[in-house]
Amino acid sequence: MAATQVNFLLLGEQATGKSSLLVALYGTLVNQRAENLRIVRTIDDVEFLSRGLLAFGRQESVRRTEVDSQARLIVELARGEQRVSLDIPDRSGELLKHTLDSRLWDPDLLEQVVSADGAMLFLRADRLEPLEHPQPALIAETAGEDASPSAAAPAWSPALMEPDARAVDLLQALLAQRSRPLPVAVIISAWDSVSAAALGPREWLSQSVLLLDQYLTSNVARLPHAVFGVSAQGGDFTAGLPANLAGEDPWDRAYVVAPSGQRDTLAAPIIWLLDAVS
Amino acid sequence: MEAVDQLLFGYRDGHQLLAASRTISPRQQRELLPHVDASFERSDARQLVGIGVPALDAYLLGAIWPAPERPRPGAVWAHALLIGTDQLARLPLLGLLTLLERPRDDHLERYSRRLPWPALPREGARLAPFSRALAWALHSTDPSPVIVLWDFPDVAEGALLALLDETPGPERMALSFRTRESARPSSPYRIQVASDVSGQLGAAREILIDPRYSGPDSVSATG
Repeated sequence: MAATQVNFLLLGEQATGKSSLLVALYGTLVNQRAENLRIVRTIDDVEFLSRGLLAFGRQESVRRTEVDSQARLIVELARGEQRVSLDIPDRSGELLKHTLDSRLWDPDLLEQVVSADGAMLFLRADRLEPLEHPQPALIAETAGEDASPSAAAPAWSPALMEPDARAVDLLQALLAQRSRPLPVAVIISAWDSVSAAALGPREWLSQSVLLLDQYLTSNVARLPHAVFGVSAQGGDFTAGLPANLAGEDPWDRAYVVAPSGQRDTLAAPIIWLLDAVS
Repeated sequence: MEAVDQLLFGYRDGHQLLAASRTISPRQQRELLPHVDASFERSDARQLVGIGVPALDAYLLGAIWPAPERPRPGAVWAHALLIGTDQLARLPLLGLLTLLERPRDDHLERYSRRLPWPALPREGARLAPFSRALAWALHSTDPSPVIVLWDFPDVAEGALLALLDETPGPERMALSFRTRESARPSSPYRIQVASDVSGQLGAAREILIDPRYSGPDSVSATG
């Protein structure tokens, strides 16, 4: 039976966990930790994924992806009787950052946006946790002090947008390029760092990334979505892993918290997307 | 006094422009980014890149180094010179290699000033089989991209600049090159110099030259 070709797009700025998820996903598939989803064959060079798994084994983060990298995960998967040829390019987060900052699509990225069957939108939890203290400018304004911008203050530019506004800006620009719906798995990476993990990913998004949550809800027909908490490393390497995790293989440390709040394997977002596009 | 503009790219919440002696817009920065970023296997490696950038009316000559001291694995430094088209056409270029300098600390202010144009080094590039291969690549009527296999990047850098110097001024803008650990298919550069090749060649009909072996099969075409 011929495999169905499926292209998924990774959308995330720098250091939001795109490559880490691909590496952990590859480890999960190769080591058969994804229940009924298994890898039939790899179709392209997977050296960067193997190298990433080795880094995880040493409790080191994966290397950042260079701007002109052509790395991608191309595998043929079996899910029961279904055969799927999955193609996920791993593009540099800087490419997306500069697309947003310059208000101009990178041609390759645009091509992927138009043709993708589904997408994973990456946000990093530890950059979106509610601030303990409000920003100084807001304090000055509230206190009735002179809050006029100083001469040294930089002029506003897209680069100054907050992460939730940037995510909405991206999705708006993306929808302007597509006529058909795009299923989106929202990936909250570094989930192990979330202080309110008991909430579950969906509730956490609605409390911590309000603007994005509202935008997704308002556009659910064009952006059917589900929210996943992902810990591709299994913990913070800089702080050191707890003893019970340090001895585990990388594919056993990595985990996903599904929209239901249940712990799941790294393949859960892919399975959700495959269901959404079928 | 003749001077040249410089740019410094490095990792600070993303690989980006950290210092410059001239204003670069976000769109221009996005255009430059692929030429000032790299991935390295060895921490002591360096890549040299030269390419015309019409949007800046300049030719970019830059070097890229690994930055293992930065917090993000895979971070790099890139120091680039922006050579004006007039400068490119009339000035000797070989001395510019001496201006390319990797940052040693967080004091980056010196990358925000134009640099005096350097004098020619006392010794030119050492002519070698590598230089002859480069000359062949440049003067061939075949416009296909060329990959030259060579194991000594320090020799390659001098020879590439010497080749640029030997190229008639108006044609220099079109001569682009990059040294890498592994050459890539479908590269935007006219010449790549590397010790091996990664990926499948052929789609861009690359010409592969291996001057390390001087036999009759040292030049081959792909595709």
